[in-house]
Amino acid sequence: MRRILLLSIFVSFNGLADSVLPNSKNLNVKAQLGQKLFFDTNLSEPAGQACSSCHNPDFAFTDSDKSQPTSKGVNPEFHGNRNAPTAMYMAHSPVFYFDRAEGIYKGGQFFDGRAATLEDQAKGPFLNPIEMGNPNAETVVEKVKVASYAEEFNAIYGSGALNDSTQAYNYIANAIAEFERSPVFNRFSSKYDFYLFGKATFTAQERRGLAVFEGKGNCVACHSNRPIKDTPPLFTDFSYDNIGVPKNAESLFYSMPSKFNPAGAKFVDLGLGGHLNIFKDDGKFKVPTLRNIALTSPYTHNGYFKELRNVVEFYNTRNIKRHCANPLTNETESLAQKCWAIPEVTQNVNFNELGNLKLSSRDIDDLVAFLETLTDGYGQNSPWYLKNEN
Amino acid sequence: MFNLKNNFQLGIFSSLILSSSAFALEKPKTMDDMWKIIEAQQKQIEALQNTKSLPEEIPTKSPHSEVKTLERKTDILSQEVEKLRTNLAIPEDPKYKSMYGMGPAASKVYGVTKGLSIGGYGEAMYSSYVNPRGNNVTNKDSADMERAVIYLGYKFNDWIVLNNEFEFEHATTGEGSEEKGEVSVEFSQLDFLLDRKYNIRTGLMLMPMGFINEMHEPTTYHGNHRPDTERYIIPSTWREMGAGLFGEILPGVQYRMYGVTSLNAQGFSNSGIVEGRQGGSNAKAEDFAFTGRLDYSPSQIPGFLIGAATFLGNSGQKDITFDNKNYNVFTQLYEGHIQYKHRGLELRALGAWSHIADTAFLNPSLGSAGPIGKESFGTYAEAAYDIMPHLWKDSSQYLAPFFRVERYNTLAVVAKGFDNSVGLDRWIYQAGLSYKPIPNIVIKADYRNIQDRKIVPFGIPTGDEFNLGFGFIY
Repeated sequence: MRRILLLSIFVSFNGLADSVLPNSKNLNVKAQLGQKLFFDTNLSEPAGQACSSCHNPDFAFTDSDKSQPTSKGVNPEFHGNRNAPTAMYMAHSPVFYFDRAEGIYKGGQFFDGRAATLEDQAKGPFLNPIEMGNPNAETVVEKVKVASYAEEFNAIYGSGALNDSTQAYNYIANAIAEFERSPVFNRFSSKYDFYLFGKATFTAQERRGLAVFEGKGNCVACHSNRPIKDTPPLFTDFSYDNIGVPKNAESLFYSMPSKFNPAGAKFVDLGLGGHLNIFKDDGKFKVPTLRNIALTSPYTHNGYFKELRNVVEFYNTRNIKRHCANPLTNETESLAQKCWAIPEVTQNVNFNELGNLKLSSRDIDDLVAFLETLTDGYGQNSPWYLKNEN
Repeated sequence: MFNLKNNFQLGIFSSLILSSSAFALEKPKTMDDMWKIIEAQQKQIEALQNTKSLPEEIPTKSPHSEVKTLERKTDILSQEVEKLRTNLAIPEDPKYKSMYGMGPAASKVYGVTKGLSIGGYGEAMYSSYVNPRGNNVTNKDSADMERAVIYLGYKFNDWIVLNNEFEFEHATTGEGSEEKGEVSVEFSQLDFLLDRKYNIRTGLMLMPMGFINEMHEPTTYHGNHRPDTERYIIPSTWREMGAGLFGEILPGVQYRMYGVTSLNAQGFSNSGIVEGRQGGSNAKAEDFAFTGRLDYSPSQIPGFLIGAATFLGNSGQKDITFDNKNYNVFTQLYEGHIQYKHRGLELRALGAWSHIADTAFLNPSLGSAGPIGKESFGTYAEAAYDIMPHLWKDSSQYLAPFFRVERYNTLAVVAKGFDNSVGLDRWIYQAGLSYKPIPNIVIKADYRNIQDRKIVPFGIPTGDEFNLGFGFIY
């Protein structure tokens, strides 16, 4: 199945991309080049793994393989430590910074903010030993030099753009980032968008769900659902939080060779705190957008939750259910045992905004119904693009 | 031994006492008069001090003590002069009478001769919600020092008056993300009192809409909460920057008409236009509005008032664009009001209606805070009766049961296709008591039966409520 999907993407890359990828018409030349790089499976070592392998457009640029919490690497025996997040709307994440007013870190790329910009982020997976396996930037550039689109670099970035491998690697990252800034990744075409324009009607359940989202659920505390100036709702404030997700014993990363995972089963993902080496940020991960949330399972940084409803249930009762006897109890067993496993990182857990929302079962159903309205493609063209046309 | 010299001294002393008595009876009117008296007294003191010796036979009034007495009086007079000089004149018995549409305490500055005037009001209440809504913060019972307000007015002369209201809401400005209070300049207006018919007002001014917005002191209305129509349909306290005219154009006919900064449509919501108020805080001034009011209170029918007011202006502030076009969001608000007070009976009614253009282009910007009503309306009627004369014949206290019925809808009409299932679409039946031991203090109790017809926007309490509170003006 995975191979068929990859093949279909490869085919689309060879001429059908425009008709397959929504919002990919009229891309600028940099974005078009970025698109080719994004889908090029020859850029890994060995060949076979592209950006799109883990960021599939059919699943809102997340991994199409939902059977594992984290993605397979270029060597299918290898798995990463984190769930591949959606690449959509990440262009709106501000450059990583410390918000002095709120006293917290915001923005950046990756779950832990270790890349400040989209360009920085784009450079990462090529060289990740599990993901695309290239030993260095030169290797990637050499592969690009023999690609069918190599000439386009000269046209866009100037003659001899690929000669200097450091500069060439910057251009590669820039083209991919430009693609990620395009409407392909920023569709804003969900039912909710059309609803805000009076062009879609919510069912009573969806409307109640919106009320829960803004009210009892307190979801808006981090997943802001209102436009800010001319930016449509992004459903994230790009802050970082430890929501107390348990360790995911089903992650294959724990059994990776020690060169990838020296800690073995004792591996603890410290997230932002690990990146910054700041204790009070341990266990915090970037608040994801909720756009397309119905397509982006599994959920949370380690893919602990497979079902969206269960994530909501976790937010609802994390503080009030007892801790499971086994800290490695999985999602399904936790629900059956009416307990939650202890958080992977027990410090810095957000108790103020979630954990005991007092949502009824109907509230949760309503909320999930609302979240399902956030899937792009309800209409072909985003109403926001019409509004913000300048 | 009682010689001529002594007689002379006593004479001076007597005349001084007399003159002091005269001064006590008739205070000098100007500083110049005061200085003349002081100078005269100073001379007399010096004359007394120049007297070398006084007979020991007159033990009752030594020259030394007389000098001390005179010096003390001089000090008192000097202090009076200082008072005049600093123009600090707080009337000991101020009259609480509404003037130029302002509340009674807010009108104090118009009553002073000159200089500084201090006043204020406050209101606090306990609210208990009959139907708690789960864990919702909006329906938690609360006790709130809702408003503590200071009026600081300054009368520069008999025709230029500065009037200010500084308001502390909810007791503290606090810190962090908790919902806390705020400090605001509720109004800061300069009045140029030229003529009974034509006067000029400029500054941060209260919009002359409805009963409450201009006259919101707690002793002037019934119930702990202001009527919802005068919160969500006609915002209160609503003030904008501007300038205009006011006066009594005909006997009994008062008017106010201002040009002001308009509303900011980006603050509109399904709860109404209230958050579109700009309040003179870096107000956007791309669009302006006209507001005007006419009131008639015929001298033939004391206690009767009928009037109407309007607010007309674009609220887009050049920020509402769609498909490369700018939309003005022309906002119209009209209200009519009528009031009758007679022998303890108080009747009051008000109706308001608004229309907002271009809402289809505005709504997306509001996100789920929208849509804004293309049309909204609100109306209420209330009756109160002071029963104290029937309970305690000679009392000057006041005890009035009241009843109010209110109907309003912030989303009476919405632009085609937009969600009409949310908003404030309510019937409210309210009954209560207002007790005033003196006219400046009111203790209020009321019960509100609130019937919603739509999903209530988040942040607004739902269901019935009981309120108990007090208010004061000074």
